[in-house]
Amino acid sequence: MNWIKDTTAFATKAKHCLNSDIDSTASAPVRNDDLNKRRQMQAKRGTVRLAAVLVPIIQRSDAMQILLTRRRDDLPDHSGQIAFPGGKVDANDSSPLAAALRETREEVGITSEYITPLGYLDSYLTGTGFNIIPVVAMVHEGFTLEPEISEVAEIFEVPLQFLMNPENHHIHTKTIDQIEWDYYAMPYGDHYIWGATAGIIHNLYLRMSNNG
Amino acid sequence: MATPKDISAPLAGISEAGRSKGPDGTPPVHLWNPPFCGDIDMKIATDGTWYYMNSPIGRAELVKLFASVLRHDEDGRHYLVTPVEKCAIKVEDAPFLAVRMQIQGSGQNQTISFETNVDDTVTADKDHPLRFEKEAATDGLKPYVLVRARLEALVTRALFYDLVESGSIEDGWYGVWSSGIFWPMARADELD
Repeated sequence: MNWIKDTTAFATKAKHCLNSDIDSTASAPVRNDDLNKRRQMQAKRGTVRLAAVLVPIIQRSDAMQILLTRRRDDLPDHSGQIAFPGGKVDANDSSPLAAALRETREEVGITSEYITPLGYLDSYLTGTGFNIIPVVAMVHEGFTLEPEISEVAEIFEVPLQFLMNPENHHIHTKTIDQIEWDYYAMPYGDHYIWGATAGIIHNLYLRMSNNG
Repeated sequence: MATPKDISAPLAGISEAGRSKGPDGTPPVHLWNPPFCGDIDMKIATDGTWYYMNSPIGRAELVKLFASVLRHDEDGRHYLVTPVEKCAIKVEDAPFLAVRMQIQGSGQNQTISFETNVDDTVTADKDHPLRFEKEAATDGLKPYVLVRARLEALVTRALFYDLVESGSIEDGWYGVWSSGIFWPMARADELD
């Protein structure tokens, strides 16, 4: 699979395999992991808030890496979790892409001049009521990281090759009051990537390996 | 392609050990007292991945076989034990990772069960205590459950959230009930 090792091949294939049109993702909020039908219905009853994240693929000299953050432990939403840069789409944001770029600048300090958006993944509805639109983008070296310390505890990178290996995509489970909740999990060293972030990474893998 | 390493090679007695089953279905490693054969270049990482000579051991069956002959001795070290040898390995955090959890009932009638990455199943009870360790770096808590004879599983962060949600306060402590025992996490007045 050339696209895992070569940035040009990745960008070319991404344009084939990802959604180019935001309407195709925003109009039909579905969970992309298809693991928990019950939970999907539960989330649909509440108010769904639109959110956008950037899936940053960094071109390093030896390999491509995906940039992730660990959120601080004391936040109201998704505290302590591994997450992509991103957040709620505000009224001032002209599009989910604009929101993802704004949040990336605010949370990790990477400005849009270093970012080439490639396309959208399927939107991901979380149990907490966020409909997340993931934007996949190539990030070029030369940026300076400036973590927003009120939200981000740590910024780190994971090799694309590790995350695009389905052997590293585990399904873990919790059963509470006889209701089973399944979620994707990708333990990587000290970092336990799970839930929405792992589901979005799994969707990237499916998109990139199935089409074209 | 590089030739795959023969990762069962460092243990001469692994096949024999794997065939021996004690009453609980695992090899009776506590009965064996073979000579110490030194350290082997094997490691269990914090994320539960087993490494031999810095390469992840991909075959789940082999990992389970090694896990079945793992022993945590009073000297604090972890060993792979067969009838003919005992070799030390490195364990970064806990040897197992609890990746599935089941919470049933509520209050004092609650039971909490876990399944590990190597398919052991345990219910938190007097023989399988839960403990919560303070993380110095982040001030957070790390939950562990005893699987068997000094071998613990680290409970993943995803499951920890639900453990916290199923908790209550008893005598000034926040904690969870399982199998009629209250497992304290932290003093209630230390929580935000």
